[in-house]
Amino acid sequence: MRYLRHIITFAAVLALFAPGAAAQSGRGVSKADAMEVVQYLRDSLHLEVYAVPDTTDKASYTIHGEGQAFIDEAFAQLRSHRYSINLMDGRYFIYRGADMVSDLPAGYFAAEAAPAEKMVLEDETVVTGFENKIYEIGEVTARKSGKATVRGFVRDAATGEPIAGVAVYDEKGAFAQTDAFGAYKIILPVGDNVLKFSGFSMEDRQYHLRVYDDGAMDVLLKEKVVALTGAVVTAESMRQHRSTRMGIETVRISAIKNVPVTFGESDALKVVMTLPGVKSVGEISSGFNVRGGSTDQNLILFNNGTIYNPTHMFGLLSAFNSDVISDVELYKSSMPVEYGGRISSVLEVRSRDGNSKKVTGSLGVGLLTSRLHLEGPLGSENTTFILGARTTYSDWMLKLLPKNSAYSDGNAHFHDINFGIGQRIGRNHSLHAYAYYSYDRFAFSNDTTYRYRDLNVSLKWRAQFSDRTSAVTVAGYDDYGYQTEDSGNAASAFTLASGIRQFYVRTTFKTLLSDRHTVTYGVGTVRYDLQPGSCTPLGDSSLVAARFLTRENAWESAAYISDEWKATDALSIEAGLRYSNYISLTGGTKMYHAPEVRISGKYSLSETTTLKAGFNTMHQYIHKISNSINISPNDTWKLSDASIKPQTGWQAAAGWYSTVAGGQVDLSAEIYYKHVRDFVDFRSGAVLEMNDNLAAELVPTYGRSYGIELMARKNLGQLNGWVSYTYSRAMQREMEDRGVETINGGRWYNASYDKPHDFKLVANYKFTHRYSISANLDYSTGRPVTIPVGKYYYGGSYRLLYSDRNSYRIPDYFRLDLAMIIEPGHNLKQFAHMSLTFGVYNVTGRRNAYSVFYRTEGDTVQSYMMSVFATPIPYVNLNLKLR
Amino acid sequence: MRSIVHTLRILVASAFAAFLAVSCVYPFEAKVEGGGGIISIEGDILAGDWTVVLVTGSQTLATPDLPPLIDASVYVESKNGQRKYAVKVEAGTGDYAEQAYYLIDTRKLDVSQQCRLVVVVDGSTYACDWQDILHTSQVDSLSYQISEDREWMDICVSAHGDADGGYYRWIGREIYEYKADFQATVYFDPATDSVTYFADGANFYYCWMRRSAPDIMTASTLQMEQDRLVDYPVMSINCRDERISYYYKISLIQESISEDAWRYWNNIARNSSEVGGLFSPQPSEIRGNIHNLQDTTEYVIGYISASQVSEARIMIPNHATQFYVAPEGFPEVPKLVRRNEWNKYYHELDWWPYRMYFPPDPDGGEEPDPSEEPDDGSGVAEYTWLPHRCVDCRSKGGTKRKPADWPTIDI
Repeated sequence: MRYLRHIITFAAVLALFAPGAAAQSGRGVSKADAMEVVQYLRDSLHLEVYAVPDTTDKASYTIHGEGQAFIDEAFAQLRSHRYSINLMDGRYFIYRGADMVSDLPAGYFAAEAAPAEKMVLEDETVVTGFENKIYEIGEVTARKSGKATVRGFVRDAATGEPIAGVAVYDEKGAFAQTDAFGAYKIILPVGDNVLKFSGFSMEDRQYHLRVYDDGAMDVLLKEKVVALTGAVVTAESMRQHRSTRMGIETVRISAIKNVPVTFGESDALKVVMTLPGVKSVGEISSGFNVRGGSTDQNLILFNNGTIYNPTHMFGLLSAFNSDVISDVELYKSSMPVEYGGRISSVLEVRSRDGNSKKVTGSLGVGLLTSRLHLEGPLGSENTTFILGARTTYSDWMLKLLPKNSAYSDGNAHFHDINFGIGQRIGRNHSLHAYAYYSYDRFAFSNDTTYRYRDLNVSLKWRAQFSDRTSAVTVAGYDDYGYQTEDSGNAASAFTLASGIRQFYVRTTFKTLLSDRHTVTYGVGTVRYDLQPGSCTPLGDSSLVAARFLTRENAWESAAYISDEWKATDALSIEAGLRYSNYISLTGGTKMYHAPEVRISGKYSLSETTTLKAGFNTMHQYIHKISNSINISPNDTWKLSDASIKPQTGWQAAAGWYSTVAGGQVDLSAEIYYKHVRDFVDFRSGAVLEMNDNLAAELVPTYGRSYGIELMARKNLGQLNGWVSYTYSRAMQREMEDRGVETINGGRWYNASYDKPHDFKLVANYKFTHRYSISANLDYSTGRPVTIPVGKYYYGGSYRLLYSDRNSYRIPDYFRLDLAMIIEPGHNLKQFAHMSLTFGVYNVTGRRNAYSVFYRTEGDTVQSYMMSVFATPIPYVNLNLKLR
Repeated sequence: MRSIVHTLRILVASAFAAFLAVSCVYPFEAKVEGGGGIISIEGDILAGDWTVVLVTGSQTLATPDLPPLIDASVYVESKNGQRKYAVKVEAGTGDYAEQAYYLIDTRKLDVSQQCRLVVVVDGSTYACDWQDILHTSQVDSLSYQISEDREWMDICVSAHGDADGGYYRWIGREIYEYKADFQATVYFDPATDSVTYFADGANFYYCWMRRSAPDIMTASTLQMEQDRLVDYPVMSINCRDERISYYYKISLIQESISEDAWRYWNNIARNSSEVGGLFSPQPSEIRGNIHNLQDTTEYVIGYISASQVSEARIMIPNHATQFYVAPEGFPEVPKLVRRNEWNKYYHELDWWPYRMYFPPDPDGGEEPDPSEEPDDGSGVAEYTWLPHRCVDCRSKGGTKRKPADWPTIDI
């Protein structure tokens, strides 16, 4: 297969020679144009050459030499004028490089009389992994003119798995992306086209299509083995320049595995936190804040199921097992119209479908967890499964926690199981079923035990109704609950529990009306059933009365439509409307309904520079009730009702995107301003646990945040990674005047997650295919805190007098992690591939503050800073991949 | 694979070692300003008992001394106009605390009338909201429990029944006897520049401390099947706490409080102790029920409840529990001081002369060797010196006032 490797070289050398009279001299050419060089190769050297003439090429070529010497010189000169030269089965394909081909006139291949080939399956789909052939789409007898739709699936050549997020595009601005099923749809002019496929960590492909009519072409992509040099365009940069949407961050599993995070456990959520605009709540936390939003303003979807607590081991790890994850997509600005219900962001985590060719798996051993995963076909390659499981095997982590925080007596355990099964039904339908279960138990001391569990099951049906219309229908059930047992005093021992159950169904259609309009529309609904809290006696001698807070029920429904309109090649606008309707059934019926607007647009200044802007409005009907900054195991949730209004917000954003350095580096700058009202904060001294009149503890606030995010990203090459700087602010202000009780006197105050300066660097350097090192650097301003400004003597001791809310900050955060990754050698005969990761977390050993706190000890007040990991922490992680 | 597993083990082991060395709480200094001068008024109206009132001001964090009692006119006012005025109890003379406080005789307060506490300072009148005097039930029992690891002693209350509301608060009035680290048998009088033996029985070795227990003791039975508490731990004493080093007595005054009062006290407790953890709530200040009647926007610290009371007492001698763990090692190395430097040491360094007191114990140790004293011809080599606080129990705030009913023969 070596000969299949194509070589594309771009060199930015302009033609130096004026075009002159063509001349074909004795042994070579002088002052010839490119087509004359091609002709010479054909005539004198008897090469089979297919070439695409480019009338913009005014260069003249003078080449002398015989045989191979002439060929080498000719190719060198052509390449220096940005021609691509591909060798395939002894045939040469020569055409001008991607960035210079402004137009490919229909029919120009015909001039070369290329032998059009077509590999046809019984349902007339072209399936290919081979470039340098000309594929016919539709029947020549169709006699169609104008445009035709080409659709198909992109799969991994090795595993048969669909690949999401592959950019499918031509040179003239047509752009599509494969969805979660690996499906793409693109409208092309009838005639000859060059269609390119570019996916992260996959080898780029381009195909010559001769389009007669609507038709299908499935493409197999190979994993990029040689990623060290020579890559050209990435799916990410294509999307930046072709899609109207902005503020989307995609993290592929290959990137996740390269970023050193907590103790070598590759963790999707921790990688998301290295992206600009995303801030981690604290060192030991999987809670994150997106563009000045709170942790509960993120909709976290795992195979469409909502994850209410995405953490394991009180936040050390995220809930997502990277063995089964395909990719993670974070929408921080332009939210797709089918999503709603949260103010800040949507984080979509998708699991893979599984290898359709053979059963494979992996085993992982790390300091914290052991992992096992299996995947493969079931019966036929139309049915695939994937199964992943993780568990911890020690409680020793807790021993690291601060001694006097009384946590070190604790123990912790978790396990999670993922299962997915996919069934292709014919070409146009596929069914997928997913199940996820996770369980956590930990205790910080002997008498308090925390447990929580998460169960998500979902079904997904993808249907292709016609060449232009497809639909995805999802339905599922989510069940999250926690239980805290407190047995400190036998007579008052209790179990505190709370939970959310929800059913949902949603169907979304996508229709390509024309090559200028793509319409997305659908409906969806969620039925919530929430038990805000129960307190029951624990043990026989407990005198605690069983008590249950009123159950809460609600329907949240939406109908939505959006149109992506390609006004010109340079200008595209996506405008959507989502009508959301919320009916609370708790204590009478209360309805809220409102339209939400989703508008975004892009204007391309050039192929490599794009401007975008967007505006969204959002509603949120479910609120996390927690007084701690972290995602904590006993957070409860509260549905909007007659007394608690939905949160509403809007965000305006604009961005500039440019791809430089020959397509290797993407630069971006985005600015945003966000405003929220009825955001829930708590009155001072609020009692949140088991409170039937919770509304009295909550105060609605305005929230505003703004910022600028700068990022440079190099996706490929020996050195790859990203660097970003963000300046942002997030503030709140109480909406009502409650006199002296008003938080900070009714002035704007810093949100707990307001960290203005934020610098992040994620870099991976590959020495060879086997050895690479990774670095992760994180700097941010310390988060705001409320600290004592004075003391008073009361009730027999000094008590602390606290400042206005969030008016001080903990020290700035800085951390550098380094890791060395040793990949398996490419020995195909080995039964298993082993990869090893060595690393050091917090190399500089900086004592980063998680919190600062004050205690009165005797007659003095002592101030402390708690640091979760205050020394460099080495780790090793072993992964066995079964073949 | 064997070698890999082996390597892995070594790596894991080294990682473990690194982990175990992690200690995660460090001292921290933040620059803060202000925080001083806010008036703070404490003193629940205890119908059937004495009401103890403290009027003080808040301080900056660095202030070393306890805040002084602010001069004020203090009284409890009933809705029918009756007033019971406070007397000021000077520091070192009262039964309830060693520092100064105001004392109001509310033993015969009319419980059918609403009442309030009024404090007049510099022409500003501070008063709490009018309070109903709540009824409280009897304390069933007061006991202690020592934790398995013998690190903590819990003081536990059982109570039941007919209280108003189901919110309880206890005020702990403690008296304990403690000893200085060393018993001096002589003292230095700088006026006469001479060393004198204590008179018979006189010493700065045994002291008694009267104070309010520092724990915030509240409970609610609203979540309970019955309005009943069984061995409910209200406070904890660490095994290294000097309070239980010898004889410890606590009188628990039980009162019923309102939900607002319960919240107020719980918030203070939360602000003082439950902060800084992974999932700790964020601290916040809430307003009490005391207002400056002339300027209702003034921030006043404090919440005043009014309740009838019941009381229970317990005496815990350390010889019965063997719970106290004495600090190890010498607190300070004694010094031999030249005769001509005595005055300097006494005044500038706050050290006192000390002469080793020998218990009648053969393992007790040896008297300092006079030959260690540099020979300056003064001939007073037998006096060594120690810091004041090591030999004078009063330096920790207690006094020589032994309660009349105290079980020891110490004086």
